[in-house]
Amino acid sequence: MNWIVFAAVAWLFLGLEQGLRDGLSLGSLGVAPSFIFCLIAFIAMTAPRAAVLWSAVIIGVAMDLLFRLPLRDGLGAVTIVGPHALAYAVACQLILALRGLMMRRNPLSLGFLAFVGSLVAYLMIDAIFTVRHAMGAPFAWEARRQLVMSAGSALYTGIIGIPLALVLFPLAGMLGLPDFKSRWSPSASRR
Amino acid sequence: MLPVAHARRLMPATFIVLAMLTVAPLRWTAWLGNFGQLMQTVVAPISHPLAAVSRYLFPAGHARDESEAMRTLQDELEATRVQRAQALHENDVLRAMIKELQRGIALDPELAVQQMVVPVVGSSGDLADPLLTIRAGTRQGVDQNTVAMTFGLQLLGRVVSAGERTSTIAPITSKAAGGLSAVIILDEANPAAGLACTLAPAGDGTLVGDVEDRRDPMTGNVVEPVIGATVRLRDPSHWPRTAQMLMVGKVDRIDPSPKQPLRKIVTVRPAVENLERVSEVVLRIQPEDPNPPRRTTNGGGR
Repeated sequence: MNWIVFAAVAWLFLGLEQGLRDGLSLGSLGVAPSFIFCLIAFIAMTAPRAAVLWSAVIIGVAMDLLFRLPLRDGLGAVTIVGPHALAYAVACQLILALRGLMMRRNPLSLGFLAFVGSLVAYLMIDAIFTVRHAMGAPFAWEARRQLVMSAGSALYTGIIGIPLALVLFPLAGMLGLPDFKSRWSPSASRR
Repeated sequence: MLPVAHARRLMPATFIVLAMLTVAPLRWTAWLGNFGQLMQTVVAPISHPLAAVSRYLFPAGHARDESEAMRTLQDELEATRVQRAQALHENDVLRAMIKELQRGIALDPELAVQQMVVPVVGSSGDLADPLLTIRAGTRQGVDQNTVAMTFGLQLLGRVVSAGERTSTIAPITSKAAGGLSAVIILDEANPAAGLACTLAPAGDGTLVGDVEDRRDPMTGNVVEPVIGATVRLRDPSHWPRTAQMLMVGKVDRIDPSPKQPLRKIVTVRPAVENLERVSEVVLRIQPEDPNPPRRTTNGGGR
């Protein structure tokens, strides 16, 4: 895997996550797609296991640093490093287990794996914050509401994953993911 | 690049560290917020243009067909109303202070407020309770408690964390902002005679809360809130002076209180439909506040 290209693509997708996510949100619950998880799912579909887990941890830590969890009663917001990184790694384990059953070059596969993976990741993040909230952490957190938002966001992420596959698959060659070079790289399409 | 064997050995240790950070008490990991601010700065060059496009396509709720002149006039009108309400409120406070001290020499100096328009570069936090990230920080004089408003003098919220270049704002409709005390203005000429209410975010972009139970001393009739009445902030113990009498919104619904049917609960909707989708905010920076409002964990009893 080409880690320099990975860093550039991850930066772009983190920007998409920060800049576009709330614009595409639906309803008052804040159901919104996760662009960054589509990238993680794409890498998990194709890259070697170690590269998948490291990329999940790196992106997860970046997301943890960007995620400000609000505290109740105007006490401010906190940054907690760990929940996203761990959740993304667990979700990647699931995708690694499922990817052998999928047609990797089909955009629908990315959509499905992004849906399943993000559902697991969201549930794990919700579980972590719910447990900490139950233990007395002063988070502005409503578990039931978050659960609905997570399920909706996972579905939305899966739907967004299908068109994003058309952007991500051609990047496979630059990212150093050999499985996709034959069909999706620009040089291959010229042939 | 790390050799594969080293990378494999490092992986379990990484997960252990992440798990420990996940469950560590908040006061032990507060320093990580600095890295969060750094990360915001790194991502801002790409997220800012995307956020601008997103907020242009899905605006906060200003009517697009309003002409610029009309918006300017409305802003000026609202600014005049706020100044008048602030002056009247200030008069009441000063009268009480003079009466209490029996001397008129301990009056506060004039408020010196600097206003600054800054762009919103993205949202942080979960979208159910979004926080806004703005491109202004301690370098520009922003600090915790700096008041943010949108155009039209609609109170937006206040800064909950300030980095060097970026800051985070909790909108008043976010649960992170906690509750606030306000006054429902029944007579613009006499804002002090309005009905006091305590409002808390409902989670759907509105604020809901109990209204004070008061009777007209002349007639003995219950003074009731009115749909469409302007609601202004009056919470000197929790909000800075620069925020007092700014508009919280308008009364959208009035319901009987489920606990005490004779009392009323009001639903207040901000003048801007989606506060979390504004593209720019106006910060009201007070150079030095000698008596900053206290921040309590119980929200002042609310």
